[in-house]
Amino acid sequence: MANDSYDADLIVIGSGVMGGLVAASLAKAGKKVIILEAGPRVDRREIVETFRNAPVKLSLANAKLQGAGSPFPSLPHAPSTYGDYLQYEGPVKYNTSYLRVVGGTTWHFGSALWRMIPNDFKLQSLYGRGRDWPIGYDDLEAYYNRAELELGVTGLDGQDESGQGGGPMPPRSMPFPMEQLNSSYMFKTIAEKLSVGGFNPVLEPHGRASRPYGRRPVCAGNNNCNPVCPIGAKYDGSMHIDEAERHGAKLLDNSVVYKIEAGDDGKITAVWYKRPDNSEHKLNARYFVLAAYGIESAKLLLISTSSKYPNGIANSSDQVGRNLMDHTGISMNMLTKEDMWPGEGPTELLVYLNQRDGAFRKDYPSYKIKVRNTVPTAQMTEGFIKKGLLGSKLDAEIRKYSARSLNWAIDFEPLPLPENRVTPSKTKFDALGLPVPVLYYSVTDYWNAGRDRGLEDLNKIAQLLDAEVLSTDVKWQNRQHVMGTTRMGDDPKDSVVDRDCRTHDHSNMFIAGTSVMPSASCMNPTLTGAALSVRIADTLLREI
Amino acid sequence: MPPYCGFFESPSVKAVLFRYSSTARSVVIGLFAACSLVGTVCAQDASRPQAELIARGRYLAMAADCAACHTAPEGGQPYAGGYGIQSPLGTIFSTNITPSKVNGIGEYTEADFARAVRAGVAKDGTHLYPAMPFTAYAKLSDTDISALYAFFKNEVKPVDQASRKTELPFPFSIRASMAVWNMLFLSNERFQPDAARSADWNRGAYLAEALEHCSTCHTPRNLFMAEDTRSALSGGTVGPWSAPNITSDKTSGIGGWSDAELLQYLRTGHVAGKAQAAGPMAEDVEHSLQHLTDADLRALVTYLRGTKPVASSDKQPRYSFGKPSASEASLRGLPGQAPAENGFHVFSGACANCHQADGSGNAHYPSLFNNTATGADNPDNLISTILFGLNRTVDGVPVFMPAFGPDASFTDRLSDKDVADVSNYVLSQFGNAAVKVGPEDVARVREGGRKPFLALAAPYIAPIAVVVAVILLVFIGLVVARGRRRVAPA
Repeated sequence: MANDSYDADLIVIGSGVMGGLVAASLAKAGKKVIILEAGPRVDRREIVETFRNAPVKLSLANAKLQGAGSPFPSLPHAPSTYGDYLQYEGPVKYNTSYLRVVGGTTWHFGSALWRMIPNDFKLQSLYGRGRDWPIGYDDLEAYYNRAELELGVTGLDGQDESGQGGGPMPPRSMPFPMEQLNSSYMFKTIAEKLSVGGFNPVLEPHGRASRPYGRRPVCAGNNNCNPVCPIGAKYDGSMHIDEAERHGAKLLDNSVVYKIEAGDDGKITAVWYKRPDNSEHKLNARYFVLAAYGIESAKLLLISTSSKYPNGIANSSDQVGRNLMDHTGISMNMLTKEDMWPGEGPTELLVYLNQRDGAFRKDYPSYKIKVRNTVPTAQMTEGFIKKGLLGSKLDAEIRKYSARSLNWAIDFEPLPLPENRVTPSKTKFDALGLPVPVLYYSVTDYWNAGRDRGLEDLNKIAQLLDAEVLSTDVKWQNRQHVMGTTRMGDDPKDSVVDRDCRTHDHSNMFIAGTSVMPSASCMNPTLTGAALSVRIADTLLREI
Repeated sequence: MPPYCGFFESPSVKAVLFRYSSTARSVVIGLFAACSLVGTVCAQDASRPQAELIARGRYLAMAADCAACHTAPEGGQPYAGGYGIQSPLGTIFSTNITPSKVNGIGEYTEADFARAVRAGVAKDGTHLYPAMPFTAYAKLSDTDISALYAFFKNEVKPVDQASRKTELPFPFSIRASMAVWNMLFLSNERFQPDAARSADWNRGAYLAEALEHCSTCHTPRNLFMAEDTRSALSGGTVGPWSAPNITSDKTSGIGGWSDAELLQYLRTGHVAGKAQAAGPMAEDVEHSLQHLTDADLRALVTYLRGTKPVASSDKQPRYSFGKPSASEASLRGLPGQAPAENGFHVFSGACANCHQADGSGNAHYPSLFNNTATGADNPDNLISTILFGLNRTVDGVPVFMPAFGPDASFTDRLSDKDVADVSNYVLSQFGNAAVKVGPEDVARVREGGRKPFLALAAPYIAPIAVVVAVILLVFIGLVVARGRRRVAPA
């Protein structure tokens, strides 16, 4: 329990899903918990209204590419990643976007919540690529269950999520907490047409409620998973923050942590944070959990330098900030000859995982093919008007394209490369005088091989759907899946945290989030991060 | 939160029971006598096949909606109690009525059971609070009591789990006061069929008055919280919720509903263009009404059609207000700082996603016009729905509206002012524009609704009693002293 000389039993840096899970768990056990969040609290209805009032309504990546911004606030002390906050270096632009608000980036995630499959943990030993995890699927299975219950995952039991159309995979000891949503007309039609070509349809497990789940209503198919679920049917991290606060945790918003301090014995002694007025504050605790997103967590460790820790905190291995990964992908737009009606139901559900696992992984990366279920009407219409279409011709084109244009995308498994990394800028600083993150990113021929193989699949899909290919984008699309920057390993010389997510260098500090993933698979990483966070909470409950 | 249902026992008041007035004692003795009669009747019925009796009891228990209060929400064991019923006098916890010998009614004879259900007195003599609708159940026939007893004894799984003790504040903590209350307000008469009416009507009357206990919520209560039978079914309050007038009155009641609409409402809790069941009525539909046979539901409709019309203050039927609103186009994008606009902004951000910007709803969500919650002459159900949400599962399909009150996540929680503003926007655009809501109304609903006289008077009852006692003592002292003085010279 809290000793008088400590401000808290546990300080959690970052109020997203990862920090929220740990904070709620510890607060429920009666521990004194303080959560520090750089950004402000937001109200759902205000975000919804800002989005509604915005003239441009696009998916996350497009919104950023076109400078449309985000309905979430951008404040001088916590600038939005949609603006010019992030700096990019290297051959590939790591054009990501995450949210600096209470509840974190899951506010705008599509809510895919996949488990990895057992082979994903053994990439090096099975296929000679990337890195193995120090733990395996069996070590995480029970925590996947608990994370699925915590986040409220909707899924289809008995599916082969390795994409081979076989028996249940990965093995599960618990059914999904909620039954899968009904498939829309488009998903059903596509699944039928592609099965002829050997594409095994898989329905994505996700965080949208299919029955009332706690306070969450049933997903109504608003098709608005990002930037914000207007009815709170989709999970986001604010829900665990709310639970933590109800159990006594204290949340300090607009509190930007800029320094972590360690003593001579290696233990973390305090964190320093700044308020928007640039005032500096210090807090200490028995334990610390860093859960500030793969980019901010790495940056914070790297700027926490001192004479004893010249490379920053938790960085004796020099791996902090390195091995930055993302499911860097490609996409293709196509026009079918019959109406498909994208836009009914949630923004994503149907995926193809034929290339999720196999001996090919020594030659090209594992990948996931998805069809986006977003509404293309506004974007299409803008194009038609630019072309000079008017009146009934315009109407006819809108009708045709809104019903028939499909967007397909592929996410590839990246390799951890030491040169791909997050560093604090030496030249650019935010309003508090803190360096902004610089992201260096590149891909290898392994990714290129995947791109070529993936394009073959997309063309085959166009053929099977009898669709005309409208455009193809192979320019390293960012998927906003940050991984690798504080990686896990048994050897303190080449990893940042151990198999329990405890930093090798500081026995009372853990890192929660997808940044600990040594390899990435090709699947959305949130649930894996959440399972690891539940596991961290268990460890903390034994020690505090 | 159905406010009224439950058995209650509290050993702490047993001592008080011995201080009964002789009148109360004779009432209790009378009840004992009545119960022994019941026992005789049951003995005769024992010849009926037991399985049929139990099946009948199962249906009756459902029609009487025992489970709604006697099963704790979110995974409570069936009939093991523990549901906190919000009464205006404090939270009353329902008891374990499984046949557990330790914590339930395992040791109850049928006579004990009958006395508890119909007279509100537990086996050990403690009085039940009228959260248990024994004034309605008093009308249950002996044969139905037998069937219920057979069901509870033989089919309900015993659960050895004590339910939470009810601890109402003084003076309501004195359960013996219920003896006096029962003397005044409890009729020990069984249901008497009306020979002048159809069999269907009589069945409906029995269902409504004895089993479904409609009057428990829908009949207004007097100063002592007893039902005011002169204006039966003309509307009452149930904690924060308002139970509307359901008499046959064309304007204030259900006189303007078709038979088919009434039947659908009882069966599903929803009729588009009329009303939807929330709060305790949603629980009743979920646990009880949807499971009734069509014949019984039709009988209920026949009965409701034939009740004495009682007019309330409504000028037009509650469901007849409003139309789609076009204000979206003129208000969209405005700054939202002006007081009148806040209601629109809350509506647009928190309500319009489901109920649609023009308020007309869709196949899954009710319209906000032609809706009794927005057309009523008091805003309690509108405010309650916003604060507490709605949850009703019919035919296995949940109907759910999230709460925007204290249970909501901080990201969705609305202040009293926000609820008042959005209520006023909704009332002015879609409902009864004459009704206005202030933050103080929202605060009142948040705190459990309109307080009855007894609850308001509670803090003064003890001091008044003390003052009266002191005056009495002084008076007695004076009389005695005078007497002594008079005696002294002798």
